[in-house]
Amino acid sequence: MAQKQLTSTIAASEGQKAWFASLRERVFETRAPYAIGQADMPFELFQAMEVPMVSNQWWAAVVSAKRLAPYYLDKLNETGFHKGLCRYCSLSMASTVLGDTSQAPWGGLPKPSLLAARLTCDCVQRVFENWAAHFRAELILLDAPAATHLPPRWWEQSRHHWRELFEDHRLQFMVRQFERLIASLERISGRKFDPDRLRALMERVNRQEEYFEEAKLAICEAPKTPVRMQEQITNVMAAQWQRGSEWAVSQAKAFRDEVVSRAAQRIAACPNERLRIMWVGAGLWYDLDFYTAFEESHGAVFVWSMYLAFGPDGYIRYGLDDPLLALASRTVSMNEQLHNPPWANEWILEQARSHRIDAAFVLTPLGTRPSATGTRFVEIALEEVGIPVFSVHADMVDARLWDAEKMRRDASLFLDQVGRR
Amino acid sequence: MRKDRIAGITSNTVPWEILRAAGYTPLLLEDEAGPTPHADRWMEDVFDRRFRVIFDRLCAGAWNHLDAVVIPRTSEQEHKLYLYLREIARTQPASAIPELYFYNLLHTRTPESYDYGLERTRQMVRDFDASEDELRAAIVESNRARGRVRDILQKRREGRLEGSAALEWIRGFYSEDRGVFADRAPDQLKGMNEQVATHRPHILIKGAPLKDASLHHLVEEAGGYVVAEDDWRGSRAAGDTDVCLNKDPVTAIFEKYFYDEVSPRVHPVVHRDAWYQREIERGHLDGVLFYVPLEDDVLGWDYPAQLAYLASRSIPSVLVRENVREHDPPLAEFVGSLHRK
Repeated sequence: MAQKQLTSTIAASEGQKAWFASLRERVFETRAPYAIGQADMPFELFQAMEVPMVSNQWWAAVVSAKRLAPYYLDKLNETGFHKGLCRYCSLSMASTVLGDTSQAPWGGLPKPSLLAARLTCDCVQRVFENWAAHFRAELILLDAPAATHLPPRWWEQSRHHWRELFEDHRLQFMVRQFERLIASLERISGRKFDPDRLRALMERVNRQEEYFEEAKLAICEAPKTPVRMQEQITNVMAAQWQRGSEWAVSQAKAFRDEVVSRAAQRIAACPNERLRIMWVGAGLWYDLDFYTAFEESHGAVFVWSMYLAFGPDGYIRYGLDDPLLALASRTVSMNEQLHNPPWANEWILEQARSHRIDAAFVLTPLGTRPSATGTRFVEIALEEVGIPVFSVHADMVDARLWDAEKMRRDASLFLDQVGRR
Repeated sequence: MRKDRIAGITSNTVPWEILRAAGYTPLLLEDEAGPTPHADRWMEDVFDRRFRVIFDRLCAGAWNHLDAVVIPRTSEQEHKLYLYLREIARTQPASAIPELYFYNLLHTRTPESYDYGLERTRQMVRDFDASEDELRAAIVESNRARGRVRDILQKRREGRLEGSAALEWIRGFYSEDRGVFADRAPDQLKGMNEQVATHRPHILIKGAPLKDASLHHLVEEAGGYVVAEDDWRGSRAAGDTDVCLNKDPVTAIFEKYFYDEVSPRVHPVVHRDAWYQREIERGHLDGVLFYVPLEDDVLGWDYPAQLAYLASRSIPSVLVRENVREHDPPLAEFVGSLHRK
């Protein structure tokens, strides 16, 4: 693992660990409620109601990074769930209900009071039904009608014109679902929902994302990236899972300050940088070294992933007079913007241009349907403007399918060609 | 009522009656043989063959007999098919994709989804400019066809019609003019009085959507009798109820498609499994064949619980991963091990 270069990265990792330890302590010692939810759920509502929520995908990434995914996924298959099923969304469940759950990272997830998911794909409701049944926990699912208003360059409208962009009938429907979720959170937490409190939190989320935008612009403009992609992810996601909290805003600010300062001082994450690479898709959580494997040999530095860039474009909402409606607009298309045409291909192409990308690595997940689509549209859009693409067919958490040596060999050959251009 | 326009539909959850009332003949878009170069270029492997073919033929302009294509929200593959087609229509000016319409029907059984779906159905009626009288006429026509589907299924339950023949016949419910389908069926049914299922074990097929009757043929060749399949192309085509004629037609149509049509997005599980469990409890089955190929990303999550339910009723089962000949021996062995109750 490459050494961490930013002090904010160390703080982000430590902050996340401390948050999780405190969560476990409160759940075990005071039986405080907590929830497990999909990454595209409105974390803001849980935050506002003081019900901590663990992201299903974050926990899967932690389990995978600790090299425990093969053990739990094997257990899942032994139980009768076949090998072709989605692993990113089910690994956390497996780590809490199958085999030796005490092996799970940091002591494992305690029993939640609530499980919650937005129904992007057809399988996630089943994962969460199985999970909730095991824990006898409450289950809240948010259904997901599709967008039919699909104007170009969504990110130019999402901050100020979100009411028009996301279609009123979809927003109103999501707000009604939020009301059901809020009723459940009120029951679980014993607290009353306060819209003003949510509005204040949403304002802090905007501030947090504005910091991320400034960091992103510094990366775009610096001759060589001042921060590696992996460190961007650690900083951004630690804050996003607790977005709007004082800690998250101050963490985002510390990250911004450090990136901007490094850029001003012309400090490069990799002084040898010759090729700027973008990674399209979720991370390869079991092999993060992959992202630094080509720095020395090719001067190839991963400078972009969706995690930092999506913060400002996907989250900022101005005009918070109706905070629930604004939050609905953040929720109704979150997954789709990252993984489906027309949103993903247009946006990623724009990101490639602004980050001066020389080549793209595009992940087509093998075992995760919601994020396995739209990748061809992305690849073709990039290739059409002359950005070479290396297609990676792999799972984000299932290391059983990953041949690290072969992938490095193939990627090296690809980068050889890019370097000769 | 004009019937000279054709609307392609991608599954059972597109309200046939609204399209018919608007002067369309709805036609289920099916798989067909041949290469799919457009799908190979734009679509990932996660899409089923039928959706790849639909995408491909629409992009290629090969289905220019279609005046419109209507796609519902009741599966994620259809949602993405719609987005892909919209994007091709936007970015590839030479493409001749017919007019696309998306029907945002949700299948979570919540009050919010009910209200939302009803409002979307009203919007569809407005968009297609269907009058109340035309809707009522279409409901009568469609209900008549549903009645004939139930007659076919009854013949099969009586042991007088092979499952493969029933499945192929019911296909007409989606691919033919429903009035013609309903008119023709009684005469064809009349002649079917011979018992074909005597002493043959009765088998239910459960699992991923069936592409055709080939799995039925395999069971039949092994001596089994497919008495039902948990599939909208077969036993569940007509559903439990007709579209109600004693209420506002839009509400009646919506409720039929909300409560009584099959989709992978039905939630909670008690509703999703209700038909299957009812069939088991009827006590007429000798075995269950689970069809869960590894490409499946949905039914596999339900399989262990459904298997456990079956085991609690002491009904034997077999799991088939692929619908191919190599699986003949274990399938034949399973069918051979069953005895008619």
